[in-house]
Amino acid sequence: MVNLLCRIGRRRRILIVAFVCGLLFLCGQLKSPANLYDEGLVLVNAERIRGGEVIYRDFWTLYSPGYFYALAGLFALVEPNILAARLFDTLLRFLLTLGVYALVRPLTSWRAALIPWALVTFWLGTIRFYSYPAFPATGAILLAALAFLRYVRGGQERWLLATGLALGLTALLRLDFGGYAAIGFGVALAAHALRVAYEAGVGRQGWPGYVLRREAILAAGALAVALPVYLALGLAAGFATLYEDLVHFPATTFRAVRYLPVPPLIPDFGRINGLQWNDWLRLYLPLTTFLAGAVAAVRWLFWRPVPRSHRRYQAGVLFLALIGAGLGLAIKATSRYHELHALPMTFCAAIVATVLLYRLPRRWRQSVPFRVAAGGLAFLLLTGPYFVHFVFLAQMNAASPLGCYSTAPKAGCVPLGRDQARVAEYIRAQTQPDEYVFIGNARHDQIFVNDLMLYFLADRRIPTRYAELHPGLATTLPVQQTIAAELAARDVQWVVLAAGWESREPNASAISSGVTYLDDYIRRYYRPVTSFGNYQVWRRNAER
Amino acid sequence: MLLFAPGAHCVLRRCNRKMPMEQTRKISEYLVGWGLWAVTDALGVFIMFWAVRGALNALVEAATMGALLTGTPSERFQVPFIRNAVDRFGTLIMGILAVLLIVLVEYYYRNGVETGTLWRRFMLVTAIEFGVLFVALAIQVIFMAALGLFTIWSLVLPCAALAVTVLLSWLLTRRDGRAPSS
Repeated sequence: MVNLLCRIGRRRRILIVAFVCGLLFLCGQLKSPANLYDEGLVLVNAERIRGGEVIYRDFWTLYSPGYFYALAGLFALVEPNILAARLFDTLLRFLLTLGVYALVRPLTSWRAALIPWALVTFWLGTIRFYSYPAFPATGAILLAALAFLRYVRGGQERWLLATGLALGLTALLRLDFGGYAAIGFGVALAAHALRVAYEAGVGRQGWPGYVLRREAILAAGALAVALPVYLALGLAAGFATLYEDLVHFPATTFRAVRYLPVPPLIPDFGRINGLQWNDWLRLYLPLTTFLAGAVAAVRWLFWRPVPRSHRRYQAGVLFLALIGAGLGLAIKATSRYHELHALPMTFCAAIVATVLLYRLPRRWRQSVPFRVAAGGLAFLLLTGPYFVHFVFLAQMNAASPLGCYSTAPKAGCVPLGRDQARVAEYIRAQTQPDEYVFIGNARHDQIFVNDLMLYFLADRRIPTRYAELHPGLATTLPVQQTIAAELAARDVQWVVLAAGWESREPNASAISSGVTYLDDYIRRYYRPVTSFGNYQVWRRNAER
Repeated sequence: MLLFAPGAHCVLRRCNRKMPMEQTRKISEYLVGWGLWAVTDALGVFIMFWAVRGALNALVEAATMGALLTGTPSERFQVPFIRNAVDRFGTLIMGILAVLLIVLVEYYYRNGVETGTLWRRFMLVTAIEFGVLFVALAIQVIFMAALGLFTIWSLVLPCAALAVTVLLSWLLTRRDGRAPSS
């Protein structure tokens, strides 16, 4: 082993040590408390798929199918529990960080490439929110960027096809991410193809055909992956349902009930507090980076063009792709502005910023005043929103990754809420494995989140297609009538109602819809049996 | 005996005008050096006892905030003592550092007068002082911002300190870049 290490060069040794440390750091939050909603919904949907149900047809979700099917595949191989899903997610996060390094390395130096790698590793190692499909989707965008860079450097069309395939994978994981990335890569490809056509002496009339041929290869790759899956799901669930769940609902109702205020472009310095300042930086710093990157890309590609073999040219084309994707991710982030949702665009910004700084003239980059100014500004602007904030996040309810904090069968030693664990245990003891159990809220006219993780922990069949009680959906009369009808049709004996998650957000989720159909139905046909903290267990009355 | 007095030979050789001019120039350079030394010392002491002390207290407040808000009664009881101890010991250490600064800068500037690099040395030391000021203010801003305290000055002051540091370092590199005078 020692001989092997000696034979590996110093640089590789450093990289191996860094990546191993990065992987260990990513494992640091493995035993953070289970997230009852965001994490729960992914695990529950994966379990439903493993149980033979078809997404969109048998259960409602607004998310793309890719990650659910990947997790369902994992659960078919290993015992389904929270820790297994987290380990899988951690592996994907690790691959994402390697993708960042691999993308920045050819355009800078190996040392410079470690900077965005370290930043992304730090953010992913502290943010928690396991099984969040946006991170694998961002990883797929980086995969597309890697293939695209190979295409730009070598010109082989197989790499363009590979770019398309990776974009298709992105669309399977997150349809919106795939769409934004496709626009960005499409623009970058058009710019590159125009430049190639110009240098090849193709006449102006031939440019559209020249560009479109390459765009067609890109689109073919993307569609080859994404189209069969969405086509099959559309045939199974109906294309109207697919459109409603994947496009219409996220674009309209989701925004209404989940919107969180976006920091204004020019903050009111008389009233702004530190947290708002950090929020402001987390949105506008990446956008400023994109602006600088776009200016540099236009300069290197068209204004003062550099040869195509030059790394600045390749960086310029990559910038266009990443900035296009990053701007789309910024739009996505503003539909519910939160540090979690701002991270994917921040990854793109970190890559662009590193390459941009490295591509500055050496005379500037190595001068003391520039280093002092850049280092000072980076310290002032990055430490608060990107380091201290994430350290605080990681410190909340910190738990050692080596400890075991729960004996519940599907917890995988991940800490659960005390009452949540008790009610899951109670349900398992009182019911048969194939029995239906409905888990709702104390009131359904106003919903913020519901305990989807409890479905996973209780390990019982779900009687309704609306396991996820989304505000703006489960608060409406037709959906409540559907749920009540499903409870009646499947003769559901047990209902768990949880209280305590009332929305205080400045959006429509805080407003009661006034629809109490489901609450009235439950109170009429069920009676409370026992309670565990905020959870009440109800059982169907003997007489209906 | 008067012939052995300093400058006496010049009296005989009629060169007495040159020596006093050189001496006057040297004395004025020393006076400037002492003036700059006083400025550097005042600035250094001010930065230490105002900005660095504030940054240290901000760090301790941030580190003990968790114990104050969610700790056990005994942990909460300890917090004021911890903060007080850090402040007192910090002040003591900064006092020692201030004395060291005064002594070392005096030596550094005196040598600068002798080698003709006084202004370069002054710019270097002042750039370092403003760099320290920037870091101390930035730490205060970062941790005070985490507690929700933020004003326009939270941004303007560190940026101004950084600007002075950059300007001085730029001037230094310009001076270093020039060809030495013959």
